[in-house]
Amino acid sequence: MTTATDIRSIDRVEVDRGHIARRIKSVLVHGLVLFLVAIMLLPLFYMVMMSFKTSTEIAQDPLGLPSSLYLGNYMNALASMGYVRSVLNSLGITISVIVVVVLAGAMAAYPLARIQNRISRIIVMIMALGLATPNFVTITPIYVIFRDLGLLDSYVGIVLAFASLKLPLAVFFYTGFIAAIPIELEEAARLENCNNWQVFWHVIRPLLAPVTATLSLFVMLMVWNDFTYPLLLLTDKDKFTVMIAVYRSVGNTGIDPTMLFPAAVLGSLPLLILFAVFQRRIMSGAMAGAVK
Amino acid sequence: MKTSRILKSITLGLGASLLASTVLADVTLDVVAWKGNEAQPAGLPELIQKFEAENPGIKIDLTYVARKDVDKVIPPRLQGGNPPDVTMVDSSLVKLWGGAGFLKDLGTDSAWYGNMIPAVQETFTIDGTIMTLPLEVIGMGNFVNMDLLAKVGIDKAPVTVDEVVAACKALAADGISPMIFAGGFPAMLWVGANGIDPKGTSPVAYGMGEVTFVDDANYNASLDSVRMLVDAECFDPELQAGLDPWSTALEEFKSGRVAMLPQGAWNIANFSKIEGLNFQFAPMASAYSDVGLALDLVGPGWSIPTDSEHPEEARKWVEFFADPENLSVFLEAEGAYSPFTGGTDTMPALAAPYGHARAEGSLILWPFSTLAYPKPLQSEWEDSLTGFLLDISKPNEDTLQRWDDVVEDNL
Repeated sequence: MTTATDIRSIDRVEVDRGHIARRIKSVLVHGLVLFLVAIMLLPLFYMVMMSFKTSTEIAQDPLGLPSSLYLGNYMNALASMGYVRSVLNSLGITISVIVVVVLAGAMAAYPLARIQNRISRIIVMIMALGLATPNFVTITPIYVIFRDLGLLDSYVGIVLAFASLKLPLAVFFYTGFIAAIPIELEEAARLENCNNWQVFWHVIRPLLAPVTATLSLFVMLMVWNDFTYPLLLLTDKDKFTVMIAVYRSVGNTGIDPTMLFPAAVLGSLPLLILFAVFQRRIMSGAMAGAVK
Repeated sequence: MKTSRILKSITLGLGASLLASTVLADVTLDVVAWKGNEAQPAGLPELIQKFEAENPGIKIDLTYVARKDVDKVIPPRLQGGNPPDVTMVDSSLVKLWGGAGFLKDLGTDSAWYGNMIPAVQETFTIDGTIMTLPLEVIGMGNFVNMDLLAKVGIDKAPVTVDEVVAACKALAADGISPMIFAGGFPAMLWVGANGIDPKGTSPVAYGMGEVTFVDDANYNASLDSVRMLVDAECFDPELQAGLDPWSTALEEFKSGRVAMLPQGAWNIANFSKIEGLNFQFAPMASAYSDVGLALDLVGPGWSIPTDSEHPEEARKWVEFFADPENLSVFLEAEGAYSPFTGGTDTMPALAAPYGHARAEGSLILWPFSTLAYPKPLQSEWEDSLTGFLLDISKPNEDTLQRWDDVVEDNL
């Protein structure tokens, strides 16, 4: 005969079992996540590790840890990269492009999302074509147009070039997002006598924060890492971006690890710092965009 | 009266200072090259310094653009009428850009033209015009770690197929990795050195489709010789198929753990930096030579675009390299030979075996650099030889037919 005490002890055993199962599952999941993160961080770790090794150490033991933190590679890289200037150029160009793309993209997307007719659909399709057009098709027309406009070798030129290339992405992003915003919000604003601009600025724009965070992240990575357009449109070395400085350390017929790795670390360092500082904001923006 | 005199003086003063500034103004030459960066300085920094000292008023602004990006970055500038004043080119770019009228004819009456090595002259002369001053002829051969060979009692870099096979067997038996044979490049050098008979069919005949690779006894034997290397345990073919010839392969050789690496002489400078790496640069072992076969690659040169803003100054820069003393700085840094007859030999002693093969006349010009083989065939060689390494049991026809198809497509 089963007593109440027995039932309670059976329940406790089952609760304990459930608890242990959950713990095991949690440990397994966390272990898997840590393993995946380790795999993803491995190239980064390798890059940093290699940057502190001498050429002899790299040749003799490419996968081993550095015997000491050799800073000579960084001194050489800093001396040849014009680092501060090129980082400031990259920052200035990247931030300017993000501002232009976000503003112009959102303003272009608002009517495209709200006015549903053939013309707006055609425009969205043209934007999609812009996304699919490969670089080598646009590179010559961009160069010739910018030459005619007198925008070669200028910060304005390179910002406009990048902005025009990334704008289709922004319009595409924003059009889908704005279309999902309830129209009633706008109608309420119009009842308060808001015009189109006021509706966009005071009602729609604040709601775009999550998607703007995600878009900015994409644009930032694309602009920061691109060196083809700066190499094409800029000739004054004082205007060169940090990725061109990194690019100079890659040879045609091989790489010199003592130059490439410290240059790569220095080239990506500002981005890493930016991510670290704005991590919370970027992640919350990206997550909000994902679960909307 | 007084006012007009003052105005006259001001005008004259302004005019004079404007004239003076125009006369004294520096011309900055926009030069684009895929050498001269930190990774491959090629002696250019010191040559620029020397040129500027000899030519006051001309400054050189050298922009590095990797060879693979030149095709993207320079054509828009040529088409847009705003090209660099001088650009580095190779034979394929001369053909393409020169053919489109983007490059200036430097004149076959130039003092240096008649001094060019005949084969180089033939490569760069298009329809009776010369649009390039060539800078180098660079060797491709076999880097050999002499210390590893010494461990198995070999004191001479192998230069025949039999010697390579014997070295591989001895090294493998001693637990030493004998050879790097990455599909992308080292395998190409072996197959080329054993497929092209310097005294046999001209490479042009293959490039023109007059002779097919698939029916060619030499190239069939060349692929068979790769199987022979595998049998001699020179390398594991599948492992080599995944090796990057431009990074991992170089680091492997630099580590001192592999005895042989077919590669270009441009690596001599980098390999020489490694303490304790005792190596020689030897010619490729070939079925057609007892002293090895030197594979010379016709390297890049300088060209002046038609729309160059400063053509006269650009010409000064280009012809600066026709002076053997100046060119030797570039050649020494590159580990290359002069494209001019009687040029100074700046090759280091460790390249003596390669130099010996050249001196013996055992030499071919790499057919991709002279355009005897069409340029697209090069990437087909890279891909198909990598595929061949993944399955060396498949018939030669599978590989060689692909080459004939590319030739046919480019006729």
